[in-house]
Amino acid sequence: MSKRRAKPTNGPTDEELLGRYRAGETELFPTLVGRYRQELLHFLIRFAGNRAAAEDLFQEAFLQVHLSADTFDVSKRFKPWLFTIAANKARDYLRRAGRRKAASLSAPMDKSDDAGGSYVDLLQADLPLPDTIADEEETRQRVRAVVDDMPSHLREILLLAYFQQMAYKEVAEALGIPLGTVKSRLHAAVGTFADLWKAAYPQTTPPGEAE
Amino acid sequence: MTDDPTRSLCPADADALDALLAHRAADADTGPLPPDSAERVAALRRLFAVLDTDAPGADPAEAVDAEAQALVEQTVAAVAAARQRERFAEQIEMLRQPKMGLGFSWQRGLAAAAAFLLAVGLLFPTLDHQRRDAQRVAGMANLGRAGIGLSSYALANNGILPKRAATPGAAWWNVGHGPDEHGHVQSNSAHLFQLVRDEYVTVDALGSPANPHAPGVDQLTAKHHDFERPEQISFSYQNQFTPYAIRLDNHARMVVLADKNPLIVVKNGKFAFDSTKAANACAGMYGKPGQNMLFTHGTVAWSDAPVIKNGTTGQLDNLYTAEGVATYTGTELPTHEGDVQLVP
Repeated sequence: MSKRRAKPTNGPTDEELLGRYRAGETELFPTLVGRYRQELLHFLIRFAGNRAAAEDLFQEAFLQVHLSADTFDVSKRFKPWLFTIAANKARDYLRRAGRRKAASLSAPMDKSDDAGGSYVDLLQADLPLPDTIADEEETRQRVRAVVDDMPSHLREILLLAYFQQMAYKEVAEALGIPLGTVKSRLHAAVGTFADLWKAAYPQTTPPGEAE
Repeated sequence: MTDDPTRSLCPADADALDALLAHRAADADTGPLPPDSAERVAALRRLFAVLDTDAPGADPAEAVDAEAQALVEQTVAAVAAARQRERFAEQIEMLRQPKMGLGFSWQRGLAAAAAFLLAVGLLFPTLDHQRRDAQRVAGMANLGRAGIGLSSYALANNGILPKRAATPGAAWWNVGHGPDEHGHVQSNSAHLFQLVRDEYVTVDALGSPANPHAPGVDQLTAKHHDFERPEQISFSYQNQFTPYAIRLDNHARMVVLADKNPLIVVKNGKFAFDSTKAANACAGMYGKPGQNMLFTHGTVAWSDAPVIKNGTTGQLDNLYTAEGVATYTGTELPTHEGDVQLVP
């Protein structure tokens, strides 16, 4: 598991930057955009499914940040707010594009959102693991393909809670869903990833143990 | 993918996952774990290792590069353009609701002025200064009408104030000459008159009641190119013979129209520079020193002096002169985009 990424130790915080930006220091906006270039683009590429759309959504998200800057509560964290905006933009895009399974976040949870459906037990799963895979690039491509194949509501929660390392509470606020739903949906996302990963990867046992 | 591709983690795996992510959120390497979960935690860590191959920053193709920097620059440019549009909209809105310096609307001012003129005319025909004051208020009201016309014009022309084809460096005071052989106008008033040609205002909005030669609505219409002769000019407009156009939203507090430039006077039916006037002369159209002014932020105000604080340089700027220019031959231009120079 990757370590939680360090916060900036010097310079103004994101929240301070936005506060000063809306007070008229417009020259600070590029700093804010630059800080999230990698993380937000990573999220949007994987959520939207292609880089060109992700770049458009990236711009739309920061445009919305500018338009809504006056409504931001600087006592709260900027990142969950930014990702809330970006996720909303991405969901709208997917809805317009109509190319992916979309699940309404306000819809009642189906069995995939809790532990009531079928389970994956990692001790029994016999998953293909990195030390059996020679090419990291190949692994990355397969991971991306599997994540891309997940239902959007599970992909979204996996991206926010795992890849973006947002705390459950922040994810709950960002998506406007209860904390318990965040947990159950993340459990479903990880379980589904494990299941799809095994199905997508033909080599289920290390090469030396094939026979 | 099957019809229902979703699976959840078994409860024991789910508990271990929650614990591991809670540690990470707390920036801790270790922490409390569910009892007897060591093997499950190890299995989860192996699964995390798979996921981490596509973590943010892991893909060299998405690393910070020129393309990524271009995205940041495009985003910043898009936001800057949005700010520009907002300033433009605000500017238009302010110009659409011009206010007089005293804080009441020009429409009410016009009504008050009309009533006042009537009362003065009927009851106190000998009080010239009261008649002049009423004319001054009516002149302010006309500047307010012109301001609405300017805002409507700018709204339809990407924020640009009225400006027709003109030859930079050519004389700007040949009122009534009509376009030259290239179709270029020969007076600054022809730029302003575009408001009439495009029917944003009627010509009376560009006149002051203090000017007995100001044309009425039937005299000059959208069919005309310009005022017909210098005496008809009541107001002076920001010099548009410059190579650049003035964007309304780039100049939030600029005077663009005011009572006629006192340094440029009518001699033998033509405009000419009056070298006998002091450089800081006021328009003085209403029997006392001072002039009415229209700002780009919509305020119509009276000022006793012909200077305002320049919105670009912060220095005092004479409304009627180009910076550093003392005498005029009719071709002098503002020295920079923020330099106010109102000419006929």
